[in-house]
Amino acid sequence: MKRCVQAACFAHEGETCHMGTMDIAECPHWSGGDARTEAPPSPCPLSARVPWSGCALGLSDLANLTPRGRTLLVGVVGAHDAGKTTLLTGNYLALLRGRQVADARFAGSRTLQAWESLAAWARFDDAARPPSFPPHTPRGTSRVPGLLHLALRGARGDFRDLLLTDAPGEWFTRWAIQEDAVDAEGARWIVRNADAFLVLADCQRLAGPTRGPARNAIRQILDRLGNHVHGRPTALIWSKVDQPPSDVIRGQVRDALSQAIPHAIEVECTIRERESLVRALEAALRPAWLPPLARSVREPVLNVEPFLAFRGLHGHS
Amino acid sequence: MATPELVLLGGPDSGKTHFAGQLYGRLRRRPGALRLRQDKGTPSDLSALEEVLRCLEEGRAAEHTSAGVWEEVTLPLVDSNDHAIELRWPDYGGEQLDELFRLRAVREEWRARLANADGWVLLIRLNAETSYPDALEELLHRAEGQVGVTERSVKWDANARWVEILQILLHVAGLGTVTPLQRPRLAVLLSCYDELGTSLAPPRERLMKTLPLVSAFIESNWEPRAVSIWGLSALGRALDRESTDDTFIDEGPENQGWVVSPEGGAPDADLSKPLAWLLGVL
Repeated sequence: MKRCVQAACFAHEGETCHMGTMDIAECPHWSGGDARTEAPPSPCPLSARVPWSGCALGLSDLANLTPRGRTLLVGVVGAHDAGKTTLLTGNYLALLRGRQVADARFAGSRTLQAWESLAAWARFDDAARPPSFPPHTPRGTSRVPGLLHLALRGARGDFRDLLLTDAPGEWFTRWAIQEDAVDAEGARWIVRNADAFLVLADCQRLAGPTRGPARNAIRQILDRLGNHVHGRPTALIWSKVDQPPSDVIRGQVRDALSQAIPHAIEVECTIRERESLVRALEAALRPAWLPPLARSVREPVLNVEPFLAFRGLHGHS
Repeated sequence: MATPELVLLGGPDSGKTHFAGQLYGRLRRRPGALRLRQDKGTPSDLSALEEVLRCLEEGRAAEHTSAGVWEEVTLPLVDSNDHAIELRWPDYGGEQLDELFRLRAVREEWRARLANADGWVLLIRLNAETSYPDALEELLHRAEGQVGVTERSVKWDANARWVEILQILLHVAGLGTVTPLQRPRLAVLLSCYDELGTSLAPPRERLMKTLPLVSAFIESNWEPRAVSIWGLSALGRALDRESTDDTFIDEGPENQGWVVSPEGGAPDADLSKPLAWLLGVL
């Protein structure tokens, strides 16, 4: 397939030309590209297109979104099968039913195709295919996770682009063990860039026969994350809490949490109660909605000698 | 003289043609908030409405507008304050909106109209929209013994589909939504409102109940005074292509059909009211 020489241009997938040319044939970057096939797949030659495909966003798509307002990236962190994708799907289904999230109304999404394909798993649209959990998020070799997007408008009219990471759990378990592992690049990207974190502890596993390794996995993730979180809002989500772990195990995970991330809050969720999935997302969204207040600048004392501390006549004006 | 631009957005079978025919009949024979100008009389070209006017007089529904059609009727109007308005009312096959969604592209002539329009008229027939109930709680019981289905055809929920269409239209028209829109004004007409049973509630509640995501999207992205949601029954009853409805034949199509105003309440026979609101007359 012919594609543009510009790496950030997805005209070959039917999106707008990255350089803004209306007629793609007139774009020098397109014409200079690898001409293996004839034309872009478009029956109407001169038509206006949009710069998103509806699928999960990648890094180059962020360039279209970030200039328009405050963007919130929520890192959804947890081991394989901890319920990360189900948590995201539950929130989309809640919006579809008219629910608000953190007192904010739905105001659009660049990834409706991705949301719809997740939601399709929980629907009764086809008798031959009963609803089921969404399949495992593919591990892939991508260096950044697929990002799901929601635009939200708060009660005071403030607009936020919310980006939620939908990443495979293996990234985080790998990263927890070896921070600079090659296949944990995606996890490092999330931890570096997220504005808030949701860390999922899988209660079903913490209560089941593999509770030992499960406790180890979540404690390792918390310990590792503790080095990087700093002041960012973090919530520990007890997922699948309809199968609660023993108080001892819960206490041990809590101890690890209070040591690694003392400011983290805890929320429980289960798909038995769909509201709990929204509350879980709100736990990260509410504290991150407004940026942290700027602290007043304190000038460091560089020298105790008053003469040397003199900063000029305009120092206090 | 004002020559406002309106864009009419509606899928197949949403009632665009019937609304156009009935609107003309009202303006001609039972004027309300808007009426046809006396000096210019009848529009010079009525060919776009010829078929629908004939069918309605015979008490039957008009034929489906074919997909490739794009026609316009220019209506010389005057409002209650005697301001002259030249309104170009389009009629086209609703499949063009489906094509837009499928190809994720907007034809250049549409784009120019969208960008210059003072008002958008969005026709949604709630009864024909498919939204899927989800079974989130059910998943727990079905999780065990699950056969690994890897493929799933994605049928878009009507909520997501309309939101995507509106997003695409807004984008190609160059309209950002970081601050709520004041222009173009948006009139949402819930067409075939008679299919939904009688209710005195405001039509926006019906939209919120049936398509909550679309309702949230519209309320988030338009200023409250720039959007209004109406119930519309252009014919007042269901007609099909074979019927010979005596009420239509005897009383005339101009005495059929009604709108429900955004505040709700009893049906109002003045079909030009949503347009009058869009044009700032009301």
